[in-house]
Amino acid sequence: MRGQTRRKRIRLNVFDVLIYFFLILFASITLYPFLNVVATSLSPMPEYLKHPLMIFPRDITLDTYALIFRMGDIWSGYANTLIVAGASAAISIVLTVATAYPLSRKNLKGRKIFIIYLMFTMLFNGGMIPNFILVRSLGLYDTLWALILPGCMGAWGVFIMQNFISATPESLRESAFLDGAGELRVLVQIVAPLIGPAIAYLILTSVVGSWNSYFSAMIYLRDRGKWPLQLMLREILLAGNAHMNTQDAVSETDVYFTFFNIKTANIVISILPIICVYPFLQKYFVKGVMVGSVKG
Amino acid sequence: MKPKQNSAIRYILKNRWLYLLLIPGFAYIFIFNYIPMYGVLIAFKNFSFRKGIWGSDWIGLANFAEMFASETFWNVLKNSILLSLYRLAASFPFPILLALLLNEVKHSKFKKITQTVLYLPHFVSWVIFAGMIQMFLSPSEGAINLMIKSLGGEPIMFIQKSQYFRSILVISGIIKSAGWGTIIYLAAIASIDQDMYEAAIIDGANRLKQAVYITLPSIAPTICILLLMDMGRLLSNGFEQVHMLLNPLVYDVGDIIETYVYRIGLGNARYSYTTAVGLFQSFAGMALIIAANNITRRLSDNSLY
Repeated sequence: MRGQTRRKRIRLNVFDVLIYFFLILFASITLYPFLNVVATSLSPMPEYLKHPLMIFPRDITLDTYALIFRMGDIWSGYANTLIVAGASAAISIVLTVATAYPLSRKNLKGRKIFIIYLMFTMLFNGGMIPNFILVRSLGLYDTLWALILPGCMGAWGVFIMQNFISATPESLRESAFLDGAGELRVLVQIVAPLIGPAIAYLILTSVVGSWNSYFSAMIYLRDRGKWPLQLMLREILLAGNAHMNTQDAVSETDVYFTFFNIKTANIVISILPIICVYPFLQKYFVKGVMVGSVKG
Repeated sequence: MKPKQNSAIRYILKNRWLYLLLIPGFAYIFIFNYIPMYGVLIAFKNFSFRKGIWGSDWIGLANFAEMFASETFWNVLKNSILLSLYRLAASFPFPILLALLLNEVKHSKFKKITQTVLYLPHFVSWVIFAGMIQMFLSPSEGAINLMIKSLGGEPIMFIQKSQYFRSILVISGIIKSAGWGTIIYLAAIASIDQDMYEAAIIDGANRLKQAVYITLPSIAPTICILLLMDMGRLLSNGFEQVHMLLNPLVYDVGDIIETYVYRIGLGNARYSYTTAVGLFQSFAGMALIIAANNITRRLSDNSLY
């Protein structure tokens, strides 16, 4: 008996080694570029040229970061992104919950038509140019509203939210109605606290979306002062690899810094908030994706 | 008739709060989804901002005729479909494989850390991802080319070469989304009846056999649905990834419908023509999704909607 269990354990270990090997390999491929970027942003250029594949910084220096702090573009990008992300998440959550609550009543008259009204938007859309014309006609062009309003609420979010609301216990709502509470009160005081994870999922998805996208900003914003983070970053990252003219910002030390350090440091600054936060919030994302897939 | 009407009104009055709650969301959807659908009329017109959507002159199918006669359009369409097919062939299996591997990990802390690392790229924008790709592949200072140079080779301009462009898109797509894609499969695996595994262990099946004969068949419906959903998106590749990496030297393989509409439509202000292109994409996309859904419904009891 004892020999048998031991043999079993050894046989399992062969699989384990392979499994761990492949997972570690894939995780390393995923993680490596980020480590390299962080290391490059913290090292002087000559060190990078000597060890381009490094994952640990050499001769650590914060000079690149000091330079970026003085340049300032990225901070106005940050401010605009925070405004857009906050406003768009707030509008999205209010509209989505308000629309999903009535639709979670399976016996609501007209529900079928309402669902089709929403569902059709998932099948067919006007496309880039008609959306552009709409934004211009509404007078949103070159305002932050052009990034906040279009696309902040969608049928998919409503259906996920409706699934969550349907899953809350009917009896709680019934007893609240018996106590004389109206629909609004039930929604705010009974249902809303129960669908916390769904609300968290929608808010987080919306914030990550606003944080990461640059397309709408690129087509709707002319004024550089309104650019969000990603558009600023895009300009910095796509600039040529020629040595940057930073004479007005730094002294003779700039020989040691090229655009490479600037680029990597900007990357680090712009992903830092998300990297710090997502490991603690990923359970909400995972739950939301799962509920979405149950319906799908 | 009258009593019935009365009861309908009474029903709506009784549930007035429910209907009132629908109004803001439905108004929003009307403005931001349905008005652009009305806006596709300009595909049949010669649109000018001064005359507006309704006031612009009708020109019938002239835009569509131009589109189908344009060599660039056919190339762009081919690029869109080919890129989707490459993604289907190369990227689609990765989340399944990773989910199967993750499912075998018993050490929960290791599993959690690995998952967190694999989810990371999902939260990083294409601006940053593409920026990193360009830095790594940069001919002068990129890590890859510095290595090639130190080994005595000639630097390669990866991003500017057509033969590498699709591979760069597909591989960067895998790294960015394979980890996130495991979530759905892990959920499907979690719902498999554990008794089947116990029975298999008694029959002497090892873990590889369990994965092949129990886990894979059990998640086959999920795989099927996701595959068909991807087929429904055959014409859309997403704008940001391709646009970030695209440059005129690789238009022959890298220009897709989204980037074409953007460049010609907004860059050259050819609103009506590119709306026609977009309309073609929307209609073809809708047909593909409906077809995919019908196939799914026939194969299983599930449907996409």
